[in-house]
Amino acid sequence: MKRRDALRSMGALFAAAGLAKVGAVELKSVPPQTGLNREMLPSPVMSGGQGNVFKGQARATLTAVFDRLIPHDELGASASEAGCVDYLDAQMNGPYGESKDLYLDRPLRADESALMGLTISLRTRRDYTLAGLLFIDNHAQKLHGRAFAELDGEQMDAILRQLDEGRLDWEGAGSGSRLFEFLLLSVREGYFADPLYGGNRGMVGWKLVGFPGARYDYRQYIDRRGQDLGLEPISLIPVS
Amino acid sequence: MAIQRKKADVVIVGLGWAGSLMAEELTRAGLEVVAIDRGPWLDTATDTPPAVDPDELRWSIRRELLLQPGEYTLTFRNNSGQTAVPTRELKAFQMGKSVGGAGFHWAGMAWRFSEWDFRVRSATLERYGAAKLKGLDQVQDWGITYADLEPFYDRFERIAGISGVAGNINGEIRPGGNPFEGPRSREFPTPPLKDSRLMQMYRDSTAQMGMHPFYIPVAHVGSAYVNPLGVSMAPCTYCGYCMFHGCGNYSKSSPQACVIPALMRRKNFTLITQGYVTKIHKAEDGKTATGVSYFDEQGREVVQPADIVALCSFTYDNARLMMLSDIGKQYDPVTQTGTIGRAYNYQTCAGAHVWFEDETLNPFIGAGGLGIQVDDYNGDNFDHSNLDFIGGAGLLTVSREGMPIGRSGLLPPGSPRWGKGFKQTYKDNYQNYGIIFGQGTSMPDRDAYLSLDPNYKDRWGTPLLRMTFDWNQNDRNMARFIEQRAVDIGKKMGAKHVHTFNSAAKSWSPYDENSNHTQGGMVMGEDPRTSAVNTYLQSWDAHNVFVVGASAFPTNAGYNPTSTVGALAIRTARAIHEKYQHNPGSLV
Ligand SMILES: Cc1cc2nc3c(=O)[nH]c(=O)nc-3n(C[C@H](O)[C@H](O)[C@H](O)COP(=O)(O)OP(=O)(O)OC[C@H]3O[C@@H](n4cnc5c(N)ncnc54)[C@H](O)[C@@H]3O)c2cc1C
Ligand code: SF4
Repeated sequence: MKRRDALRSMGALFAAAGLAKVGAVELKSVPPQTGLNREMLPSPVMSGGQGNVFKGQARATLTAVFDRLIPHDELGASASEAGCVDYLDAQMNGPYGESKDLYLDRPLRADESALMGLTISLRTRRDYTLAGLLFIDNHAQKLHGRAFAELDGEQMDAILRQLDEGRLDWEGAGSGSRLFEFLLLSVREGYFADPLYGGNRGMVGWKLVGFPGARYDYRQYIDRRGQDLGLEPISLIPVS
Repeated sequence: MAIQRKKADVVIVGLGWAGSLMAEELTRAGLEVVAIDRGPWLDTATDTPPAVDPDELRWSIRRELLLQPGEYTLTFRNNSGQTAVPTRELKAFQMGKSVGGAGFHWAGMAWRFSEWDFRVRSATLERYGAAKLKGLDQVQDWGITYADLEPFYDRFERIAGISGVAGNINGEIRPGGNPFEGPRSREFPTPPLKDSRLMQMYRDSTAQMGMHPFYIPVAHVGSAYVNPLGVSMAPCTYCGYCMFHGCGNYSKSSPQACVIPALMRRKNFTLITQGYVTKIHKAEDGKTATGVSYFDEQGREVVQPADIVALCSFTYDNARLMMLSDIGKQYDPVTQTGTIGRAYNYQTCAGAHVWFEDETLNPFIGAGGLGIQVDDYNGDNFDHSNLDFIGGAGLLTVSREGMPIGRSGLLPPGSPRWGKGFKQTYKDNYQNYGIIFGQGTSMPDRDAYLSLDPNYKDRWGTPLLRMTFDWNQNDRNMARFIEQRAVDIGKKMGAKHVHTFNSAAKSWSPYDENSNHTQGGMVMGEDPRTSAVNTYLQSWDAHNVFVVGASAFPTNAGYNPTSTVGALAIRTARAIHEKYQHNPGSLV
């Protein structure tokens, strides 16, 4: 087994939602385990992705949106080439997609989003994203009689610009631009997070800006102020 | 039936900085202490070592070390006329999730407040007269001075191994330090870290403008260090994965790194993890407390009796537990009576994002608090005679903005955020960004307070805390002034783009992430009509209940709060074991 695969299966074994817990306990001394708590290891994403959440049309729309947000060009891979769709699929398949972190108790008051600028409203991020992609696709159908993924680049950008500039709403004032911000945030996360999470393949995002990745000691570099340090990035998992 | 535990001398609710420092003093003096924390045990070497810590997505973006709203949240409104709604997503209300509290993943700026900050009312009257306090009727002195707190600041700094350069030792102003700071009894325990390129640029420009730049005191130890409790620490490696992250190096001062290892060895200390305290029990005479109740993870109610109850459960639960237990009188903004929940205050922030051309700042080299500040416009260090506000802000730059997801959203205004041109713009600007951050004072106001929410509950069925808050006119005026000072500095530094921000320019919302510094609500003072606790943080209404934390600040300074929280905690604990335990009753 290659080290990367070993790490992956370990991740599956210890895939923990949120923080590791010792359990409700009375402690009279420091707990005896002093080595790395393996439950704290992150769970890496299978290369190629699982396609658990974004399938068929939703996946096609997401891929098209992401590749307009971060296109392929002379500076490197597009979002989907860098694994951003797989990244978001894995995120939405876990606790983040299930919105375990949100307070979703009712009532939801009509003026709540005006006071709070709420992004997600009372549903999970997974449902929110799927519904948002469907909205984008339906809008493309309405305008051009074709799926979003089948439009040409200029047509896609026109729809995305409408969302970005708050000229296209979906479920109440401001909802279009909030959806856009959420998709933009997601694609950036995929492109610039550790490759462990399925995106940033080959550390393409880090190489673009010159970020050295998961390094932990810069004491020997701090005095080289203003110099290009030429540091190759490193990831939490070995990547080619 | 609730499970009964053996009685303790002291029960401490919450084992963050405040709770662990209290526990250290009290157990060293021989008292039997039980601490209860709602979070699980978490430690640096086991849970956030270098194989886990350098992960922006998980810690900085998802913030997995923070308490999520699904577990605990507040409701919010801008004024008493509105109906509050719950904060559903994590943004400004940032709390620790584990033992150690927010001290585990804080940024580590370790300030003492200035002499002025403890006596804003008296000092303003003396210098400018009563007219200057118009509209600021709730501004009041703390009832203690900087000099009273100095020995306890010193103790906190020794325990935490704070890295810094003294600007004032016993009245003598020292080069390289902050000339405006109150007198210290001695130099910092560990030396400063080195400057980044950005810090040097900031130093040079502000000095040329006639200001007094200095190294921000930080909880990232500057050299190998053994603290007074015998715990060893190692120098910070500038890894940059610091704020919102644990530290895998024993370099960031935290309750885990500095205090808890010593505590856990003491026979008279017991820690209960994952116990959620919901009530303080009152004695029949109503004048004292008999202990607290908590729910364990299985949902069982457990009673921990104690002679003394110390709430160290952060600003929110410090106030909420008093309300849920009906100790003291809830503040009412209409009649202006009652003290529980009164004088909530915040941190008023304004400043500028700046972008240079052709710099190589290497922003990934940094630490949560690694920066340079000028205090020339902080507190009352400048003349306010012709200004329409009191207070001010520390103006700083900090080297911690190198992580690529976060930075991808910090591009000069007008540049492409997506599509064609985004990559090139980001590439061009990654090495060229800096921040000028004004962290300002916050004054209390009639309609800024804490109370229980009538509509929303947590999973135990207890009401959520409700916050009513908006910026007052004084603080808005101050922020506008500070915003302009940031522009001046940015221009002097030679920035090509200077883009200001001013959190007080519109109504406050918990979704605008201005600051996580949140104070007051259980304020200290000399008058039981306008303070909830006395100058030893002892409840006026139940003398064996102590409420320790930034909840006690009647006004907020233009600095981060934690060293002051630590100093107050040590001072209170010392008063408990030196005086109170021998003669229970009011300490004043
Ligand atoms: C991201 C971040 C960066 C920060 N940076 C800085 C900085 O640079 N400088 C600075 O000075 N400050 C900073 N702060 C603030 C600083 O972390 C806090 O001021 C400090 O940790 C407060 O310590 P405390 O002990 O009062 O409260 P906490 O650290 O919040 O500890 C309270 C403890 O009580 C427990 N608790 C709460 N309620 C209950 C209950 N009902 N039952 C049982 N247990 C309970 C909690 O689990 C927690 O462990 C930062 C905070 C954050 C979140
Ligand atoms: S920057 Fe320093 S103190 Fe912060 S996490 Fe890294 S090594 Fe620890």
